[in-house]
Amino acid sequence: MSNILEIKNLTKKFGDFTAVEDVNFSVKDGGFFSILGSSGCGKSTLLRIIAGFEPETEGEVIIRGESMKGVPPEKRPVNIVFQHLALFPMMNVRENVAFGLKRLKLSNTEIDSRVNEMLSRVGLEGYEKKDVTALSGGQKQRVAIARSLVMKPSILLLDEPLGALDRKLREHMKVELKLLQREIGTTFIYITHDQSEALVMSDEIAVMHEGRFEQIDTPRNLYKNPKTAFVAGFVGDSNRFELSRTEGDTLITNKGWSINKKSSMAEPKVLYIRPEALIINPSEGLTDVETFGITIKTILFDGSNTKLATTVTGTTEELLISLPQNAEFDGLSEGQTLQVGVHINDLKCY
Amino acid sequence: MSQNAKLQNTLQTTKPKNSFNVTLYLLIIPVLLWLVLLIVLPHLDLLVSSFEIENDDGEMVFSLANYIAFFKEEIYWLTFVKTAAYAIGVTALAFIITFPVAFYLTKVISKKNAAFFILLLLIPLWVGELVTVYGWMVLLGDHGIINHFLMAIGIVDEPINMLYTDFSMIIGLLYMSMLFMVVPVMSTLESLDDSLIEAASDLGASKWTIFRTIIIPYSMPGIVSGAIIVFMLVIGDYLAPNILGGKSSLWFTEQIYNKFLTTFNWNEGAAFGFLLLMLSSGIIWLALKFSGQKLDRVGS
Ligand SMILES: Nc1ncnc2c1ncn2[C@@H]1O[C@H](COP(=O)(O)OP(=O)(O)OP(=O)(O)O)[C@@H](O)[C@H]1O
Ligand SMILES: [Mg+2]
Repeated sequence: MSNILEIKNLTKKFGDFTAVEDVNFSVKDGGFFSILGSSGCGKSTLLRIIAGFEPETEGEVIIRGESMKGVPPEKRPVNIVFQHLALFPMMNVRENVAFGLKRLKLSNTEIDSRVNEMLSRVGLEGYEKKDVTALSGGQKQRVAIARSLVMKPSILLLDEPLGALDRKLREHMKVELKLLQREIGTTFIYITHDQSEALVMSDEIAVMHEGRFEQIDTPRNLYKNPKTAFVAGFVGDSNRFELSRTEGDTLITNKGWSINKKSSMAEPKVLYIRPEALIINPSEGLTDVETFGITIKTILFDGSNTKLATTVTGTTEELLISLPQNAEFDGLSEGQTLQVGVHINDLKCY
Repeated sequence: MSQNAKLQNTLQTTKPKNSFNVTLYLLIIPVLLWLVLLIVLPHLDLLVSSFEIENDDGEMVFSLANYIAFFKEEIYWLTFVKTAAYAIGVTALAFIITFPVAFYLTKVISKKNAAFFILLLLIPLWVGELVTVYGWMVLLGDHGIINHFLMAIGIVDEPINMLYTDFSMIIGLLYMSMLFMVVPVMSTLESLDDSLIEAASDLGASKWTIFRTIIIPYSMPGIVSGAIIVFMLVIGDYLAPNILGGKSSLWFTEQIYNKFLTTFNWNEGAAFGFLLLMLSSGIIWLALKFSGQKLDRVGS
């Protein structure tokens, strides 16, 4: 597959403030590419540059091998689903979806058939005459997506399209959006601050922080092998420990916990351990597993996400451990001490 | 429009029926008094006297003569039609001139600068219509500033006759009414989310298409309420037609004025007044019907 979009050394400045700094990436045709970052890190700005609403300060946007320099938004082969949807309130569902097609001067029969096809694809048959202001959040969402997709763009840009929905609906739309993308094969560039959305839907994720890309990787790699401390802390849950020094292969934290780890880094500063990487009562004979004692402070029950809040025995370091909800650990109680182990590859130092 | 209508519907259906709410009625009394004493009664009195004439014995009797007089005399209904046509024209002109201004003030420049310009726009209101009308006389007269300037730079040899024409009258009417178009249009434009404009251009719409299919339909409620105010102000204005329009410009309010104060025929004056009221209500009703707006939306 070839690259449908290439971004080269893209920088955007608002006065002295740099919103996007030297961003480089490419997206494969038909891919689902997510940009994940916290609020205000420059995600929307980046998307708006790709769509042509903001001129770049430096760098280049290349779509299907063509530079987009000076090409206005209405001439770019991309469509955008806005953060707040921006449906046209004075038009009904059909008129909203047909808006772009009318600009292409297509015949009425063609417009009708494409609009109907798209509406049935997003599950909105029978809603043609409805006022968009009278729709529910999830329905508005679908109209916005249909309005852009009906244009058959090379790339669909989505700016946190699920942000305004409640949790249940978001979970549902997440799966639906992914299936829709697979079905029609349009390249999606999806912006979100919700890591679960990004992890579930994407082929590739870029983690953005203060205008820069920290890492571009597959969801699995991003989770398993975060390249920077920011990514390790941002994607998934992690226990974070400040390191004061290392002695040979031993890492020593600020609060006096020491754990062995062959580190390739000269002077690691922080250590991350995921709650689910910790093995409770590890069996003897596991290789490359470090074991140590912990004391249970409290059990944080949250269904499948239940965790033990513990302290590492002999220190004041606090450690969250995922607690599988099977019968095995039902007997645990506060104040109890346990042995836990962690594979040395799951000790991430930066 | 339908959003509002729906809201009204739900409000109405959720309102408990048949519940006698004493506080509500107490609160309504001042409003009703105001409406009845200050608006309905004087108009009723006018309506009654418009159907009366004095018979030979000096008694008031019922008659349609006042209205018949209007239709018999060509100059009356010519003035009537001209007033209506000009009022519509001035309203349209006010829209064409002020819409770009409203757009500029709300969507192009910063809020702080906009506030300053709005204050400037309000100046004509501070000094009152009479003063601005005399101001225009100074500008437009044969020896006025504009003619002086045109002759100085050699475009014309003789002063152009601008004052006491329809032209000067229209300028005066426009000037005193324009502001009432700017304000409601600005308030609808302010609520227009910029991302709607971006979405339209993302979907391939040119600037003109965005204007035609997004901006104008979106600001329609503001435009219509502005147009109603401007139209009513213009059709009922007396100063600008009388002073700036001079003898040649006929305006229906002048006819009414003449009936009341020159010929002292109050009954005919009342009939003319009612004809004007019906004319303006009729035109507004038609305008609302054709623009697809509802009065409740326009009023809000
Ligand atoms: N037109 C502008 N002028 C000045 N600064 C701007 C402008 N647009 C955005 N910024 C700044 O650029 C930064 C990035 O904004 P952006 O909207 O891209 O954030 P975001 O990642 O989309 O955040 P969110 O998740 O909250 O939508 C912000 O600090 C914002 O204040
Ligand atoms: Mg944003």
